[in-house]
Amino acid sequence: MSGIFEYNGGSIVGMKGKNCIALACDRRFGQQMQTITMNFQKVFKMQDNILLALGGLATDIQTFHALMEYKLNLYNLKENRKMKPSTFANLVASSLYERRFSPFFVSPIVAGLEEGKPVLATYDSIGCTSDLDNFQVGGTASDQQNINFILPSIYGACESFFKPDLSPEELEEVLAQALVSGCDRDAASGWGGLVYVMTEKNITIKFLKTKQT
Amino acid sequence: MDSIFAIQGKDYVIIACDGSVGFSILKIKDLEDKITVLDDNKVLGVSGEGADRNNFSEFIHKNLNLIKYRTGNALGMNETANFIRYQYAQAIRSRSGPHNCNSILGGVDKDGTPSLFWLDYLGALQKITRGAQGYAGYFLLGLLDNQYKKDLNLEEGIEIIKKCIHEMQTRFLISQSKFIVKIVTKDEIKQILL
Repeated sequence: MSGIFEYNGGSIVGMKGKNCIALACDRRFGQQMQTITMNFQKVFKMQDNILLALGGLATDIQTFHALMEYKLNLYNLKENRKMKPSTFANLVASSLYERRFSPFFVSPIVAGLEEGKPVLATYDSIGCTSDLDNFQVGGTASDQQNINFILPSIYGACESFFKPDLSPEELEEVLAQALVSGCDRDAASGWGGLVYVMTEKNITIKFLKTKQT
Repeated sequence: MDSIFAIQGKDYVIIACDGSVGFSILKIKDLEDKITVLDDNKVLGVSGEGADRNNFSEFIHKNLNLIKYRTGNALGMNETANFIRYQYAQAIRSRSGPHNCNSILGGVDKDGTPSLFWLDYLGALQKITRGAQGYAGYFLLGLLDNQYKKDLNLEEGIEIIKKCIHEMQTRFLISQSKFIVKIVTKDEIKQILL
């Protein structure tokens, strides 16, 4: 397993539903083949209607999350209002590009609900935003970085399980299946999963059991 | 080559380190203390090349003291861990480069809750209940996972550490005859030699 994005392992995936949105991540934190902990946080609640998931190098996940918290808090203090999800999505992209020549080795996914409509955006490590698809993946169980292998990936699982306009319960089930199938075949991801489903009313968190390897 | 391993119990943490210092094929010293006492309730075990290890632990120790004098109170465990993580994370993209050492921070807060943190040279931080740095991980993580249970008392904790030391001495290629073990409780930091 070479490559700085695969060093710590981990996978994340996001999916849009009908007036709801869900993010899922695995819980593994490792150093190449060795697993260090099984409860590493990769999804962060930035605001009641914004979730940020980060895959990639663990130190940059923690640093980038702290940076986004800082920028969001400063925005709240200066503008005296909450940030819109689409604005936050833009903020993530520009913050990544700020480090164009010394990038954060992260694969972020932003999920939010803006006036009831789901917002889902994914980026490469230097801020190229992709927000047109109904689901987005990041991390080692996607096939972003491992171009030499035919990867067992969450993409495949997502594509087969996804349907447009899923209800929150259905979305949770679909995303759980996609994450578990993807992670069970990826050595660098797993050790449990978490699915966050965001609706207008609340965010629910479900814990998943994956293959414990 | 350094072995640092640690376990958290009901109201204490134990961090152990091997004492050997090597230079190519030579063992220069066999009782080097690689666990720095940061405060009267926290210790930092650092694993890495001699100079980086000494430099980093001293740097952290003195900076924490500075914060204590400037603000009037010492940092708690969580704050200390995040402070150390920040130093690591800042360093990786700096002119001087990363701090080439990994650490385990252990201590007990004023209210009696013990905590243990694993930090690597890049700045990844994880709160753990048992862990190891260096080659020790390959031999001991399985053993620690197997033996650990919630709310271990002190005797059980020390027994587990003894088993870990026995494992390292049996199976690790590099002979590590002496281990320094620091036990941190709310009231004191005890050091024993195993």
